[in-house]
Amino acid sequence: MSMRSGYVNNEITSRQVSKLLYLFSVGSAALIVPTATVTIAKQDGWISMLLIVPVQYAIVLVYLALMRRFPRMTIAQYAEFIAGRWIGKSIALTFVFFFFILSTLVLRNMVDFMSKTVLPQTPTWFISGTFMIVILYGVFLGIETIARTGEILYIWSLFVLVIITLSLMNQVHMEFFEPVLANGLITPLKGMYPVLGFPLTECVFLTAILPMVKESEREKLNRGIFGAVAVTGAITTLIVFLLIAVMGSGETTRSPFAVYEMAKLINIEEILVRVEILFAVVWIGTVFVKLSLSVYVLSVLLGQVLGLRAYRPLVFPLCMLIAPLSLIIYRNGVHSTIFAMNVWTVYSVMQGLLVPLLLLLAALLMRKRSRKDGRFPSKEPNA
Amino acid sequence: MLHVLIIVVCAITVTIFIWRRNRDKGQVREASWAIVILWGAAALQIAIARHLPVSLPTDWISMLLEPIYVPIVAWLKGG
Repeated sequence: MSMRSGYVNNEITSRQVSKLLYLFSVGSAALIVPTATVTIAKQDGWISMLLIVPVQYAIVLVYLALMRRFPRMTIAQYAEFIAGRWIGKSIALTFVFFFFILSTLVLRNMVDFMSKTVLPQTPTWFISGTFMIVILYGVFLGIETIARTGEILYIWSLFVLVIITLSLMNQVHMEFFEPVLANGLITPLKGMYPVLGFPLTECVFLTAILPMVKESEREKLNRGIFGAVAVTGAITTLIVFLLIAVMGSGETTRSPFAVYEMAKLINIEEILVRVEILFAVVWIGTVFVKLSLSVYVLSVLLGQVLGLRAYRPLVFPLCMLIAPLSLIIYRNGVHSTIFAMNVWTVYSVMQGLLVPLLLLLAALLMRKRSRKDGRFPSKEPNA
Repeated sequence: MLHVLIIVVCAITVTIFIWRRNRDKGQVREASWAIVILWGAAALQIAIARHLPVSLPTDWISMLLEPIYVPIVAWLKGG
């Protein structure tokens, strides 16, 4: 593939967007969030995951409403259009910072998982560096390449989930769900808290991806995105349901990567055993998509804030900044748990829901809409 | 000191590469910003390699949002 092919590589279909949304939502959250939800909601954690689905619909509706008003602009561009140059740039910079931190945290999650389970003797800087090289290449090639990769990984992730679900059916204990709603609906409502920030409001990445959707595909966009939300809701509910049914809420709360621990329990007549690595491979694939999208959106938004004609020159330096920072972003496991489960939700909700909602309200009140094409030039300047 | 030397040499090499590649395409502004970020990354890498104290962005976020998240977490845990 030509090194310059990414320049014309900026149109995706609605189906690709829905798959990216699914992979981004399930991404790193599939392994970490179920533990957090079950810690709060105990055996009612699966109800929390069901209750979160309408909330995700509402959040996605905000992004779609913004897209209808500014179909070819990213959030950095219409923030400037709505709020004026300097306030708009300040708002866009908060998103740049958000995606920078998000990229760092996602990379750190992946490094923690690899170093604790699969590669315990490999230095963390090596895992972080090698993974970042792949991300760098993916982001450099453009959104279409990431979307096509997502299409492949989507099928695999569903396939592995079906295998794991079927293989665990002989270990389901329905008594682990008792008592159901012992403290009323308040406990499952509390269980929604970590999911709100991680990954629901992180889906604000859509505001930078939706302008890339082909004009002819826009009609199908609503249906595709709502379908992705439904599939994500069903999958995450199924994961939490299985965790509680197989391991019980007590055991689930004790493991930082409970889903991986659950996959270790698969044993069909001593023939089908040790399939957890299959889960790890798929999980790393989904994290790849999530991190690629985060770094892509970060580069695009930063390029637009700085008024550049291309995002590509920024990708390598940003990756060089993300990789070392991911090694020190958390001091230890306790710091990681406290930040990810307590602080991140508030920050993510503010950045991923509150700011877009305020922008939408401002656009509605000021009756602002624009069909200006804000994408980077489709041809390299002096190519 | 070897770490610092390696990082600085790599940063200089990449700076020259970025500058020459982008200058040929008329992307001087893009190259300038890329080099600024690259040297920021080099500074961070040197700080980590030399075990210098680095202020963490997670601490900034925690400090800024403390008035909001502390009551919410207290409610989640007991209220």
